Amino acid sequence: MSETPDIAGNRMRGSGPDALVLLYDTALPDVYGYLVSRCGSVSLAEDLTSEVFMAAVAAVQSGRKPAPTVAWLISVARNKLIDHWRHREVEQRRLAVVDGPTLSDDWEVVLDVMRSNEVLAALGAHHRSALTLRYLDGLAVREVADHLGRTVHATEALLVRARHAFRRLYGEDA
Amino acid sequence: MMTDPFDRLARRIESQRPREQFATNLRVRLVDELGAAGTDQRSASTSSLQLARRIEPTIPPIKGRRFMSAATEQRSTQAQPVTALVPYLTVHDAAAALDFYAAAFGASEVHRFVGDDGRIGHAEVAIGSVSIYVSDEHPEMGAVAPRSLGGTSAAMVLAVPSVDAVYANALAAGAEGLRPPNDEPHGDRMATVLDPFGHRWNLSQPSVEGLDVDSYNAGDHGFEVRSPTQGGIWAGVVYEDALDAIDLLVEVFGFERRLVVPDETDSSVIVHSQLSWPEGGIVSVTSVGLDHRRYNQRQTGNDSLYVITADPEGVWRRCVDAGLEVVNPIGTASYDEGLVFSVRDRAGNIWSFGSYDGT
Repeated sequence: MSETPDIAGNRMRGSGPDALVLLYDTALPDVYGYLVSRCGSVSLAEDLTSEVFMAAVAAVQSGRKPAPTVAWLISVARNKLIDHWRHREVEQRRLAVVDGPTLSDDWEVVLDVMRSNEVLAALGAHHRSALTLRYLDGLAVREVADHLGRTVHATEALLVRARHAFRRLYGEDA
Repeated sequence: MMTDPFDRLARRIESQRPREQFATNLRVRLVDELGAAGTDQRSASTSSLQLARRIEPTIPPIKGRRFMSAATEQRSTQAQPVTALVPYLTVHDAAAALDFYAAAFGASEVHRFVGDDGRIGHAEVAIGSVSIYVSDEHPEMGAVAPRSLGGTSAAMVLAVPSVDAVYANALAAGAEGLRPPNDEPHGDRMATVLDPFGHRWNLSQPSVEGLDVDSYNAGDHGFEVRSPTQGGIWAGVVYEDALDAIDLLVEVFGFERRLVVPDETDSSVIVHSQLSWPEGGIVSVTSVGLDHRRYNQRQTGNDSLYVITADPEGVWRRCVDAGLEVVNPIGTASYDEGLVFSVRDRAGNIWSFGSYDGT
Protein backbone atom coordinates (compact mmCIF):
# COMPACT_ATOMS: atom_id res chain seq x y z
CA MET A 1 0.00 0.00 0.00
CA SER A 2 1.32 3.42 -0.88
CA GLU A 3 1.53 6.15 1.66
CA THR A 4 0.05 9.55 1.21
CA PRO A 5 2.59 12.36 0.95
CA ASP A 6 1.21 13.80 4.16
CA ILE A 7 2.13 10.72 6.15
CA ALA A 8 5.52 10.46 4.61
CA GLY A 9 6.12 14.07 5.49
CA ASN A 10 4.96 13.58 9.02
CA ARG A 11 7.28 10.69 9.48
CA MET A 12 10.20 12.61 8.13
CA ARG A 13 9.50 15.42 10.51
CA GLY A 14 9.04 12.89 13.30
CA SER A 15 5.73 14.34 14.35
CA GLY A 16 2.08 13.62 13.80
CA PRO A 17 -0.11 10.73 14.80
CA ASP A 18 1.83 7.78 13.45
CA ALA A 19 5.10 9.13 14.81
CA LEU A 20 3.57 9.06 18.26
CA VAL A 21 2.44 5.46 17.79
CA LEU A 22 6.00 4.59 16.83
CA LEU A 23 7.25 6.44 19.88
CA TYR A 24 4.79 4.49 22.01
CA ASP A 25 6.12 1.20 20.70
CA THR A 26 9.68 2.09 21.57
CA ALA A 27 9.23 4.21 24.69
CA LEU A 28 6.50 2.34 26.55
CA PRO A 29 8.94 0.18 28.58
CA ASP A 30 10.95 3.27 29.52
CA VAL A 31 7.94 5.24 30.72
CA TYR A 32 6.40 2.29 32.52
CA GLY A 33 9.78 1.21 33.91
CA TYR A 34 10.40 4.67 35.28
CA LEU A 35 7.01 4.85 36.95
CA VAL A 36 6.76 1.33 38.36
CA SER A 37 10.23 1.50 39.90
CA ARG A 38 9.37 4.70 41.72
CA CYS A 39 5.75 4.24 42.73
CA GLY A 40 5.98 0.53 43.55
CA SER A 41 2.48 -0.32 42.33
CA VAL A 42 1.64 -1.97 39.03
CA SER A 43 -1.88 -0.58 38.80
CA LEU A 44 -0.78 2.94 39.69
CA ALA A 45 2.11 2.73 37.22
CA GLU A 46 -0.36 1.63 34.53
CA ASP A 47 -2.74 4.49 35.28
CA LEU A 48 0.02 7.05 35.20
CA THR A 49 1.53 5.54 32.05
CA SER A 50 -1.85 5.94 30.34
CA GLU A 51 -2.02 9.55 31.47
CA VAL A 52 1.46 10.26 30.13
CA PHE A 53 0.63 8.97 26.66
CA MET A 54 -2.76 10.70 26.60
CA ALA A 55 -0.89 13.92 27.38
CA ALA A 56 1.31 13.16 24.39
CA VAL A 57 -1.81 12.73 22.26
CA ALA A 58 -3.06 16.10 23.40
CA ALA A 59 0.32 17.64 22.64
CA VAL A 60 0.36 16.21 19.13
CA GLN A 61 -3.22 17.26 18.47
CA SER A 62 -2.55 20.79 19.62
CA GLY A 63 0.35 20.97 17.16
CA ARG A 64 2.97 21.29 19.86
CA LYS A 65 6.51 21.69 18.59
CA PRO A 66 8.86 19.99 18.91
CA ALA A 67 7.14 16.61 18.88
CA PRO A 68 7.23 14.46 22.03
CA THR A 69 10.38 12.47 22.67
CA VAL A 70 11.31 9.86 25.27
CA ALA A 71 12.82 12.59 27.42
CA TRP A 72 9.61 14.59 27.13
CA LEU A 73 7.56 11.56 28.15
CA ILE A 74 9.76 10.91 31.19
CA SER A 75 9.45 14.53 32.21
CA VAL A 76 5.65 14.30 31.98
CA ALA A 77 5.80 11.04 33.95
CA ARG A 78 7.70 12.84 36.73
CA ASN A 79 5.04 15.49 36.92
CA LYS A 80 2.23 12.93 36.93
CA LEU A 81 3.92 11.06 39.76
CA ILE A 82 4.40 14.19 41.84
CA ASP A 83 0.82 15.25 41.18
CA HIS A 84 -0.42 11.86 42.25
CA TRP A 85 1.49 11.94 45.52
CA ARG A 86 0.31 15.45 46.21
CA HIS A 87 -3.35 14.61 45.56
CA ARG A 88 -3.20 11.43 47.56
CA GLU A 89 -1.72 13.34 50.45
CA VAL A 90 -4.58 15.80 50.36
CA GLU A 91 -7.06 12.93 50.32
CA GLN A 92 -5.42 11.08 53.15
CA ARG A 93 -4.74 14.22 55.13
CA ARG A 94 -1.45 12.62 55.94
CA LEU A 95 0.34 14.35 58.74
CA ALA A 96 3.70 15.72 57.92
CA VAL A 97 6.63 14.26 59.77
CA VAL A 98 6.95 16.25 62.92
CA ASP A 99 10.14 18.22 63.13
CA GLY A 100 12.59 16.77 65.52
CA PRO A 101 15.93 18.08 66.71
CA THR A 102 18.07 19.47 63.95
CA LEU A 103 20.42 16.88 62.59
CA SER A 104 23.81 17.52 61.23
CA ASP A 105 24.17 17.07 57.50
CA ASP A 106 26.91 14.52 58.12
CA TRP A 107 25.45 11.08 57.96
CA GLU A 108 27.69 8.13 57.56
CA VAL A 109 25.59 5.24 56.50
CA VAL A 110 25.28 2.89 53.56
CA LEU A 111 21.66 3.11 52.64
CA ASP A 112 19.82 -0.10 52.05
CA VAL A 113 17.80 0.34 48.88
CA MET A 114 14.82 -1.75 49.94
CA ARG A 115 14.57 -0.03 53.28
CA SER A 116 14.98 3.32 51.57
CA ASN A 117 12.02 2.58 49.33
CA GLU A 118 9.86 1.92 52.36
CA VAL A 119 10.99 5.11 54.01
CA LEU A 120 10.36 7.14 50.85
CA ALA A 121 6.86 5.73 50.60
CA ALA A 122 6.19 6.75 54.18
CA LEU A 123 7.27 10.35 53.66
CA GLY A 124 4.91 13.18 52.83
CA ALA A 125 4.41 14.08 49.18
CA HIS A 126 6.77 17.05 49.09
CA HIS A 127 9.63 15.23 50.75
CA ARG A 128 9.13 12.11 48.68
CA SER A 129 8.95 14.10 45.45
CA ALA A 130 12.03 16.14 46.23
CA LEU A 131 14.17 13.16 47.19
CA THR A 132 12.96 11.07 44.25
CA LEU A 133 13.76 13.75 41.70
CA ARG A 134 17.07 14.74 43.27
CA TYR A 135 18.52 11.36 44.12
CA LEU A 136 16.69 8.56 42.34
CA ASP A 137 16.40 10.53 39.11
CA GLY A 138 19.66 12.40 39.65
CA LEU A 139 18.26 15.77 38.60
CA ALA A 140 20.06 19.00 39.42
CA VAL A 141 18.51 21.17 42.11
CA ARG A 142 17.51 23.64 39.41
CA GLU A 143 15.56 20.92 37.56
CA VAL A 144 13.95 19.68 40.77
CA ALA A 145 12.85 23.24 41.43
CA ASP A 146 11.26 23.48 37.98
CA HIS A 147 9.28 20.28 38.47
CA LEU A 148 8.07 21.31 41.90
CA GLY A 149 7.30 24.87 40.87
CA ARG A 150 9.59 26.31 43.54
CA THR A 151 12.58 28.58 43.57
CA VAL A 152 16.04 27.04 43.75
CA HIS A 153 16.48 28.48 47.21
CA ALA A 154 13.19 27.05 48.46
CA THR A 155 14.03 23.71 46.88
CA GLU A 156 17.40 23.56 48.62
CA ALA A 157 15.64 24.20 51.93
CA LEU A 158 13.04 21.56 51.10
CA LEU A 159 15.77 19.05 50.31
CA VAL A 160 17.42 19.69 53.67
CA ARG A 161 14.11 19.07 55.46
CA ALA A 162 13.38 16.05 53.29
CA ARG A 163 16.77 14.49 54.05
CA HIS A 164 16.20 15.00 57.75
CA ALA A 165 12.72 13.52 57.61
CA PHE A 166 14.10 10.57 55.68
CA ARG A 167 16.89 10.11 58.18
CA ARG A 168 14.56 10.17 61.17
CA LEU A 169 12.28 7.59 59.62
CA TYR A 170 15.15 5.48 58.40
CA GLY A 171 16.24 5.21 61.99
CA GLU A 172 19.59 4.81 63.60
CA ASP A 173 19.23 1.08 63.93
CA ALA A 174 19.89 0.53 60.27
CA MET B 1 34.36 15.75 51.85
CA MET B 2 32.49 12.56 52.44
CA THR B 3 30.21 11.06 49.88
CA ASP B 4 26.52 11.76 50.19
CA PRO B 5 24.75 8.56 51.36
CA PHE B 6 21.75 9.56 49.28
CA ASP B 7 23.80 9.13 46.12
CA ARG B 8 23.38 5.44 46.62
CA LEU B 9 19.67 5.78 45.79
CA ALA B 10 20.39 6.83 42.23
CA ARG B 11 18.38 4.68 39.91
CA ARG B 12 18.77 4.53 36.20
CA ILE B 13 15.59 4.37 34.22
CA GLU B 14 15.34 0.69 33.65
CA SER B 15 13.05 -0.33 30.87
CA GLN B 16 10.36 -2.68 31.98
CA ARG B 17 7.66 -4.11 29.80
CA PRO B 18 4.18 -3.74 31.34
CA ARG B 19 1.55 -6.46 31.19
CA GLU B 20 0.77 -7.42 27.61
CA GLN B 21 -2.94 -6.74 28.04
CA PHE B 22 -2.26 -3.28 29.36
CA ALA B 23 0.23 -2.49 26.60
CA THR B 24 -2.22 -3.65 23.94
CA ASN B 25 -5.19 -1.77 25.37
CA LEU B 26 -3.30 1.46 25.79
CA ARG B 27 -1.99 1.20 22.25
CA VAL B 28 -5.48 0.70 20.89
CA ARG B 29 -6.66 3.70 22.85
CA LEU B 30 -3.74 5.78 21.66
CA VAL B 31 -4.29 4.88 18.04
CA ASP B 32 -7.97 5.61 18.31
CA GLU B 33 -7.44 8.96 20.03
CA LEU B 34 -5.05 9.93 17.29
CA GLY B 35 -7.37 8.77 14.56
CA ALA B 36 -4.48 6.82 13.12
CA ALA B 37 -4.43 3.14 12.28
CA GLY B 38 -2.08 1.03 14.26
CA THR B 39 -0.48 -2.17 13.27
CA ASP B 40 -1.04 -5.49 14.85
CA GLN B 41 2.63 -5.96 15.55
CA ARG B 42 3.51 -3.82 18.46
CA SER B 43 7.13 -4.23 17.49
CA ALA B 44 6.02 -1.92 14.73
CA SER B 45 8.12 -2.15 11.69
CA THR B 46 7.79 1.21 10.06
CA SER B 47 6.76 -0.19 6.73
CA SER B 48 3.66 -1.82 8.19
CA LEU B 49 2.24 1.46 9.41
CA GLN B 50 -0.66 2.79 7.47
CA LEU B 51 -3.18 5.46 8.08
CA ALA B 52 -6.72 4.23 7.89
CA ARG B 53 -9.63 6.44 7.10
CA ARG B 54 -11.19 7.33 10.38
CA ILE B 55 -14.72 6.13 10.78
CA GLU B 56 -16.78 9.27 11.03
CA PRO B 57 -19.34 9.51 13.79
CA THR B 58 -22.93 9.29 12.67
CA ILE B 59 -23.89 12.32 14.68
CA PRO B 60 -22.20 15.62 14.04
CA PRO B 61 -19.48 16.20 16.60
CA ILE B 62 -19.54 19.24 18.77
CA LYS B 63 -16.83 21.65 17.82
CA GLY B 64 -13.52 20.48 19.15
CA ARG B 65 -14.94 17.37 20.74
CA ARG B 66 -14.70 13.86 19.48
CA PHE B 67 -17.38 11.24 19.80
CA MET B 68 -16.16 7.75 20.53
CA SER B 69 -17.26 5.11 18.11
CA ALA B 70 -19.07 2.07 19.42
CA ALA B 71 -16.14 -0.07 18.36
CA THR B 72 -13.80 2.00 20.49
CA GLU B 73 -16.08 1.65 23.42
CA GLN B 74 -15.86 -2.09 23.26
CA ARG B 75 -12.13 -2.24 22.89
CA SER B 76 -11.32 0.20 25.64
CA THR B 77 -10.79 -1.14 29.11
CA GLN B 78 -11.90 2.06 30.77
CA ALA B 79 -15.27 3.74 30.43
CA GLN B 80 -14.98 6.75 28.21
CA PRO B 81 -16.09 9.99 29.81
CA VAL B 82 -19.19 11.46 28.22
CA THR B 83 -18.51 15.07 27.36
CA ALA B 84 -21.86 16.32 26.15
CA LEU B 85 -25.54 15.47 25.91
CA VAL B 86 -27.40 17.29 23.17
CA PRO B 87 -31.17 17.23 22.81
CA TYR B 88 -32.19 16.55 19.21
CA LEU B 89 -35.67 17.98 18.68
CA THR B 90 -37.79 16.75 15.81
CA VAL B 91 -40.50 19.22 14.89
CA HIS B 92 -43.20 19.47 12.23
CA ASP B 93 -41.83 22.77 10.93
CA ALA B 94 -38.15 23.18 11.67
CA ALA B 95 -37.78 26.58 10.01
CA ALA B 96 -40.58 28.02 12.13
CA ALA B 97 -39.20 26.30 15.21
CA LEU B 98 -35.80 27.91 14.70
CA ASP B 99 -37.52 31.29 14.61
CA PHE B 100 -39.48 30.45 17.74
CA TYR B 101 -36.45 29.28 19.71
CA ALA B 102 -34.65 32.48 18.76
CA ALA B 103 -37.56 34.65 19.92
CA ALA B 104 -38.43 32.67 23.04
CA PHE B 105 -35.03 31.60 24.38
CA GLY B 106 -32.60 33.83 22.52
CA ALA B 107 -31.22 30.91 20.52
CA SER B 108 -28.66 31.79 17.88
CA GLU B 109 -28.43 29.62 14.81
CA VAL B 110 -25.09 27.98 14.10
CA HIS B 111 -26.06 26.39 10.80
CA ARG B 112 -28.80 24.44 9.05
CA PHE B 113 -28.61 21.61 6.52
CA VAL B 114 -31.42 22.07 4.01
CA GLY B 115 -32.25 19.00 1.96
CA ASP B 116 -33.10 18.85 -1.74
CA ASP B 117 -36.70 18.26 -0.73
CA GLY B 118 -36.73 21.45 1.32
CA ARG B 119 -36.76 19.72 4.68
CA ILE B 120 -34.21 20.76 7.26
CA GLY B 121 -32.20 17.63 7.87
CA HIS B 122 -30.19 19.11 10.69
CA ALA B 123 -29.80 22.44 12.37
CA GLU B 124 -27.80 23.54 15.35
CA VAL B 125 -28.61 26.42 17.63
CA ALA B 126 -26.81 27.70 20.69
CA ILE B 127 -28.73 28.87 23.72
CA GLY B 128 -26.27 30.49 26.06
CA SER B 129 -23.55 27.90 26.50
CA VAL B 130 -25.53 24.85 25.40
CA SER B 131 -26.28 23.37 21.99
CA ILE B 132 -29.58 22.06 20.67
CA TYR B 133 -30.15 20.24 17.41
CA VAL B 134 -33.38 20.60 15.44
CA SER B 135 -34.70 18.82 12.38
CA ASP B 136 -37.85 18.35 10.37
CA GLU B 137 -39.65 15.04 10.60
CA HIS B 138 -37.93 12.14 8.87
CA PRO B 139 -40.24 9.26 9.71
CA GLU B 140 -38.23 6.98 7.41
CA MET B 141 -35.39 7.41 9.91
CA GLY B 142 -37.54 7.26 13.01
CA ALA B 143 -37.54 11.00 13.55
CA VAL B 144 -41.12 12.01 14.28
CA ALA B 145 -42.44 15.12 15.96
CA PRO B 146 -44.71 15.47 19.01
CA ARG B 147 -47.65 16.44 16.76
CA SER B 148 -47.42 13.05 15.02
CA LEU B 149 -46.91 11.24 18.30
CA GLY B 150 -49.68 13.10 20.09
CA GLY B 151 -47.39 14.22 22.88
CA THR B 152 -43.85 14.00 24.12
CA SER B 153 -42.25 12.01 26.87
CA ALA B 154 -39.15 14.11 27.38
CA ALA B 155 -38.77 17.67 28.51
CA MET B 156 -35.91 20.10 28.14
CA VAL B 157 -34.79 21.72 31.37
CA LEU B 158 -33.21 25.11 30.79
CA ALA B 159 -31.26 26.54 33.66
CA VAL B 160 -31.73 30.29 33.39
CA PRO B 161 -30.85 33.27 35.56
CA SER B 162 -34.46 34.53 35.60
CA VAL B 163 -37.36 32.12 35.19
CA ASP B 164 -39.88 34.96 35.15
CA ALA B 165 -38.21 36.82 32.29
CA VAL B 166 -37.76 33.76 30.09
CA TYR B 167 -41.30 32.58 30.84
CA ALA B 168 -42.73 35.94 29.74
CA ASN B 169 -40.57 35.87 26.63
CA ALA B 170 -41.64 32.37 25.68
CA LEU B 171 -45.32 33.17 26.08
CA ALA B 172 -44.94 36.34 24.02
CA ALA B 173 -43.28 34.25 21.29
CA GLY B 174 -46.25 31.87 21.18
CA ALA B 175 -45.62 29.21 23.82
CA GLU B 176 -48.38 27.88 26.02
CA GLY B 177 -47.87 28.32 29.73
CA LEU B 178 -48.31 25.02 31.58
CA ARG B 179 -47.09 26.15 34.98
CA PRO B 180 -46.31 29.77 35.89
CA PRO B 181 -43.12 30.58 37.79
CA ASN B 182 -43.19 29.23 41.32
CA ASP B 183 -40.74 28.66 44.16
CA GLU B 184 -40.70 24.89 44.53
CA PRO B 185 -40.18 23.12 47.86
CA HIS B 186 -36.92 21.61 46.58
CA GLY B 187 -35.53 25.11 46.44
CA ASP B 188 -35.56 26.01 42.75
CA ARG B 189 -37.84 28.52 41.07
CA MET B 190 -39.45 26.79 38.12
CA ALA B 191 -41.95 27.24 35.30
CA THR B 192 -43.10 25.07 32.40
CA VAL B 193 -44.09 26.01 28.88
CA LEU B 194 -45.21 23.99 25.88
CA ASP B 195 -43.73 25.30 22.66
CA PRO B 196 -45.88 25.54 19.47
CA PHE B 197 -44.24 22.34 18.21
CA GLY B 198 -45.23 20.21 21.17
CA HIS B 199 -41.97 20.18 23.14
CA ARG B 200 -42.07 20.83 26.84
CA TRP B 201 -39.55 23.20 28.43
CA ASN B 202 -38.94 23.45 32.14
CA LEU B 203 -37.34 26.72 33.11
CA SER B 204 -35.24 26.40 36.20
CA GLN B 205 -33.59 28.98 38.37
CA PRO B 206 -31.46 27.06 40.85
CA SER B 207 -31.45 28.29 44.40
CA VAL B 208 -28.19 29.35 45.90
CA GLU B 209 -28.50 26.91 48.76
CA GLY B 210 -29.25 23.85 46.63
CA LEU B 211 -31.46 21.02 47.74
CA ASP B 212 -31.67 20.57 51.50
CA VAL B 213 -32.66 16.92 51.76
CA ASP B 214 -33.40 16.95 55.47
CA SER B 215 -35.70 19.95 55.45
CA TYR B 216 -37.40 18.73 52.28
CA ASN B 217 -38.08 15.33 53.79
CA ALA B 218 -39.30 16.98 56.98
CA GLY B 219 -42.00 18.77 54.99
CA ASP B 220 -45.17 17.17 53.66
CA HIS B 221 -44.62 17.34 49.91
CA GLY B 222 -45.81 13.89 48.94
CA PHE B 223 -42.28 12.82 47.98
CA GLU B 224 -39.25 11.57 49.81
CA VAL B 225 -35.75 12.29 48.56
CA ARG B 226 -33.67 9.14 48.54
CA SER B 227 -30.03 8.54 47.86
CA PRO B 228 -29.17 6.17 45.00
CA THR B 229 -26.17 4.75 46.80
CA GLN B 230 -27.83 1.83 48.56
CA GLY B 231 -27.55 -1.80 47.57
CA GLY B 232 -29.62 -3.27 44.82
CA ILE B 233 -31.39 -6.01 46.79
CA TRP B 234 -33.48 -5.35 49.84
CA ALA B 235 -33.88 -8.22 52.24
CA GLY B 236 -37.22 -8.54 54.02
CA VAL B 237 -37.21 -10.25 57.41
CA VAL B 238 -40.27 -10.75 59.59
CA TYR B 239 -40.28 -10.90 63.41
CA GLU B 240 -42.78 -11.48 66.18
CA ASP B 241 -41.18 -8.55 67.96
CA ALA B 242 -40.05 -6.29 65.15
CA LEU B 243 -39.14 -3.40 67.45
CA ASP B 244 -36.78 -5.64 69.42
CA ALA B 245 -35.23 -6.87 66.17
CA ILE B 246 -34.73 -3.33 64.91
CA ASP B 247 -32.98 -2.47 68.17
CA LEU B 248 -30.66 -5.42 67.71
CA LEU B 249 -29.86 -4.56 64.10
CA VAL B 250 -29.18 -0.94 64.93
CA GLU B 251 -27.54 -1.14 68.35
CA VAL B 252 -25.53 -4.34 67.98
CA PHE B 253 -25.01 -4.99 64.28
CA GLY B 254 -24.63 -1.35 63.31
CA PHE B 255 -27.44 -0.79 60.83
CA GLU B 256 -28.73 2.75 60.44
CA ARG B 257 -32.38 3.46 61.10
CA ARG B 258 -33.60 5.24 57.97
CA LEU B 259 -37.32 4.71 58.25
CA VAL B 260 -39.57 2.84 60.68
CA VAL B 261 -43.31 2.90 60.07
CA PRO B 262 -45.47 1.58 62.93
CA ASP B 263 -49.08 0.59 62.48
CA GLU B 264 -51.53 3.45 62.98
CA THR B 265 -53.44 1.74 65.75
CA ASP B 266 -50.75 -0.42 67.35
CA SER B 267 -47.33 1.15 67.51
CA SER B 268 -45.66 -2.15 68.41
CA VAL B 269 -46.57 -3.48 64.97
CA ILE B 270 -44.11 -2.43 62.28
CA VAL B 271 -45.61 -2.32 58.81
CA HIS B 272 -42.47 -1.08 57.10
CA SER B 273 -38.87 -0.21 57.85
CA GLN B 274 -35.66 0.54 56.06
CA LEU B 275 -32.46 -0.21 57.90
CA SER B 276 -29.41 0.59 55.85
CA TRP B 277 -26.02 -0.98 56.22
CA PRO B 278 -23.43 1.79 56.13
CA GLU B 279 -21.38 -0.06 53.55
CA GLY B 280 -24.37 -0.70 51.29
CA GLY B 281 -27.59 -2.66 51.36
CA ILE B 282 -30.94 -2.39 53.04
CA VAL B 283 -32.89 -4.71 55.33
CA SER B 284 -36.59 -4.21 55.89
CA VAL B 285 -37.76 -5.56 59.24
CA THR B 286 -41.53 -5.91 59.65
CA SER B 287 -43.97 -7.63 61.97
CA VAL B 288 -45.04 -11.12 61.05
CA GLY B 289 -48.57 -11.91 59.93
CA LEU B 290 -49.81 -8.51 58.79
CA ASP B 291 -53.24 -9.14 57.31
CA HIS B 292 -52.70 -7.22 54.12
CA ARG B 293 -49.21 -8.49 53.41
CA ARG B 294 -49.02 -11.97 52.01
CA TYR B 295 -45.23 -11.98 52.21
CA ASN B 296 -45.42 -11.31 55.93
CA GLN B 297 -47.37 -14.49 56.46
CA ARG B 298 -44.58 -16.96 56.97
CA GLN B 299 -42.55 -18.56 59.70
CA THR B 300 -40.13 -16.43 61.64
CA GLY B 301 -36.57 -17.36 62.57
CA ASN B 302 -35.73 -19.22 59.37
CA ASP B 303 -33.76 -16.60 57.45
CA SER B 304 -30.04 -16.40 56.83
CA LEU B 305 -28.41 -13.19 55.66
CA TYR B 306 -24.84 -12.32 54.79
CA VAL B 307 -23.64 -8.76 55.29
CA ILE B 308 -20.45 -7.48 53.68
CA THR B 309 -18.27 -5.36 55.91
CA ALA B 310 -14.65 -4.27 55.93
CA ASP B 311 -14.62 -4.69 59.70
CA PRO B 312 -16.05 -8.07 60.72
CA GLU B 313 -14.09 -7.96 63.97
CA GLY B 314 -15.83 -4.81 65.14
CA VAL B 315 -19.26 -6.31 64.55
CA TRP B 316 -18.11 -9.56 66.14
CA ARG B 317 -17.10 -7.85 69.38
CA ARG B 318 -20.45 -6.13 69.64
CA CYS B 319 -22.27 -9.42 69.02
CA VAL B 320 -20.24 -11.18 71.72
CA ASP B 321 -20.82 -8.34 74.16
CA ALA B 322 -24.55 -8.58 73.47
CA GLY B 323 -24.46 -12.30 74.28
CA LEU B 324 -25.79 -13.50 70.94
CA GLU B 325 -25.69 -17.20 70.18
CA VAL B 326 -22.65 -18.01 68.09
CA VAL B 327 -23.22 -20.22 65.06
CA ASN B 328 -19.67 -19.94 63.68
CA PRO B 329 -17.00 -18.05 65.60
CA ILE B 330 -14.93 -15.50 63.76
CA GLY B 331 -12.23 -16.96 61.57
CA THR B 332 -10.82 -17.13 58.11
CA ALA B 333 -13.15 -18.54 55.52
CA SER B 334 -12.05 -21.43 53.34
CA TYR B 335 -12.83 -19.40 50.20
CA ASP B 336 -11.19 -16.14 51.14
CA GLU B 337 -8.48 -14.63 53.27
CA GLY B 338 -10.87 -12.34 55.07
CA LEU B 339 -12.69 -12.89 58.33
CA VAL B 340 -16.26 -14.08 58.67
CA PHE B 341 -18.57 -15.15 61.49
CA SER B 342 -22.19 -16.09 62.04
CA VAL B 343 -24.54 -15.45 64.94
CA ARG B 344 -28.19 -16.13 65.59
CA ASP B 345 -30.56 -13.34 66.49
CA ARG B 346 -33.07 -13.87 69.29
CA ALA B 347 -35.71 -15.06 66.84
CA GLY B 348 -33.39 -17.68 65.32
CA ASN B 349 -32.33 -16.04 62.07
CA ILE B 350 -28.69 -16.44 61.16
CA TRP B 351 -26.69 -13.31 60.43
CA SER B 352 -23.23 -13.66 58.90
CA PHE B 353 -20.76 -10.81 58.59
CA GLY B 354 -17.63 -11.04 56.49
CA SER B 355 -15.23 -9.07 54.37
CA TYR B 356 -15.56 -11.33 51.33
CA ASP B 357 -17.50 -9.41 48.70
CA GLY B 358 -17.54 -11.89 45.88
CA THR B 359 -14.57 -10.50 44.02
